[in-house]
Amino acid sequence: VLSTVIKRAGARLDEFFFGPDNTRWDLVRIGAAITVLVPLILLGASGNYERLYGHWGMLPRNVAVDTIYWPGFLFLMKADPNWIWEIYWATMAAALCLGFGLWTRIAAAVTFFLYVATVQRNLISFNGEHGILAFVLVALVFAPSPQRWSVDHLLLKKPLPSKTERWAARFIQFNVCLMYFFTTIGKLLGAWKLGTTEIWYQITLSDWFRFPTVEWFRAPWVSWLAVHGSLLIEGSFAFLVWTRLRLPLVLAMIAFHVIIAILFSNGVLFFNIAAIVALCGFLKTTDFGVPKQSAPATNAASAGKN
Amino acid sequence: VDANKVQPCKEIARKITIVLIVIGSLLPPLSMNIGAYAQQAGLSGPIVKLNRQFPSFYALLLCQMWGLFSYISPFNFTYRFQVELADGQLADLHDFKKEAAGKWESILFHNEPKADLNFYANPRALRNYTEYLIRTNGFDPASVTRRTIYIHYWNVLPRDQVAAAGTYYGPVTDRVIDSY
Repeated sequence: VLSTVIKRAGARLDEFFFGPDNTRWDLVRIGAAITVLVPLILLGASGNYERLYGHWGMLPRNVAVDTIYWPGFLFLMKADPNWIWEIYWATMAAALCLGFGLWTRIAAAVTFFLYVATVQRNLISFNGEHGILAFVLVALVFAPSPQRWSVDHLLLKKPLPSKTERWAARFIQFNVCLMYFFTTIGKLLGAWKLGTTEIWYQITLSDWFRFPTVEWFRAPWVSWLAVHGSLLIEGSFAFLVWTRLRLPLVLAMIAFHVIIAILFSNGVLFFNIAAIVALCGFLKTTDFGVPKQSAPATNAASAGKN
Repeated sequence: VDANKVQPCKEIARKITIVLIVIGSLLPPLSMNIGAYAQQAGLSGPIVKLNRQFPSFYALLLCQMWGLFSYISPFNFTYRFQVELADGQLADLHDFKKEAAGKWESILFHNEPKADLNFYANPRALRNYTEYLIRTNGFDPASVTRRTIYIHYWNVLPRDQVAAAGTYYGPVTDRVIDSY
């Protein structure tokens, strides 16, 4: 009996990590590239890139040598102040390749490293989206490639992978679950007490909130819904997303982040976009009733059946 | 050696390795979050020791403390920087790049509210920023005898005080948070 149980568990585990992968990697890849590219363009256009990461910026090169983690040393390698702009354009090129799906895995690896190096060059620039994009980009390095909507497949005519495995998607999914689970723990141990709405009242009057003058956002029922609704959806996500509720729950969570992006200041805009990108790691090509085959082998099998 | 038997063994070894790496890569953030929140909950014992540094993961941003909006400061704030020069003159420091953005500041410098929070938690970085402002404002750092960093803030009043005060916010106040 025991050996049967072990065999079954092994088979389910094998299916869980190594079953055919139909994750919507195109969405994750393009979304991740956009979330890297747009803030990078804003940093470059505003002069903020030099202010944050320049040799004579707010963390000068000679001070940074003693304080930053090793990926940031890429910025310190050359004394020439223009060196940071070579890294800038290399990051842009890598993220563009990632977005278009050109040499996808290499582009993901290069984007990941340059992105991490940039953030580590001056951790004052760290925001929530950086933590999310880091694990998303790592997953993209190992995700099945080429993907359907990519230059690799459409123009370079590389065939779609005949065999795919889910473990890269599981990596994103586990990380997202950890994020929401510990956020809920943090909120409950912090200022989010069940039965109270004081935290929402304070949020609506903080600089982070776009509409501090709109009174009804502080109405008792809105406050109660905001506090308990967010605790419920974030707290249950890590558990219910593995059930049949996956699709409605992921869509509800995406809607939740869209609402936050609208209600809150631009300071959390890219965090919400990054969270939505990571949530796309739960979506399947078979969702929304439009099944898509991911491999020529499957196409042939489908053709045979038809 | 039977090739058919060797292949599954290799395949099983590959799969076990991948699963161990995927699970293993989650252990540092899992451990750190459990330990930190156990500490916050007032627990003691071995569980608190789980909150430790994982520099190799942290360097790659793969070990995050998750707690989005767990807290919100009960006041809104900005910083104000002032220097005293050798001749006794006082001068306010400006961040010209931010000011040049004008009405586009909330877009071009969208990350600044978070940077301000990061500064609040990192006094050394705030001093580095002050030195940056001194340089970009055209002062010779050697001619500056005192640097003062103010926090310019206004409290959010508790609900029960709002009616009496007739406003949601307390008076705007300056407080010195660093002077050296």
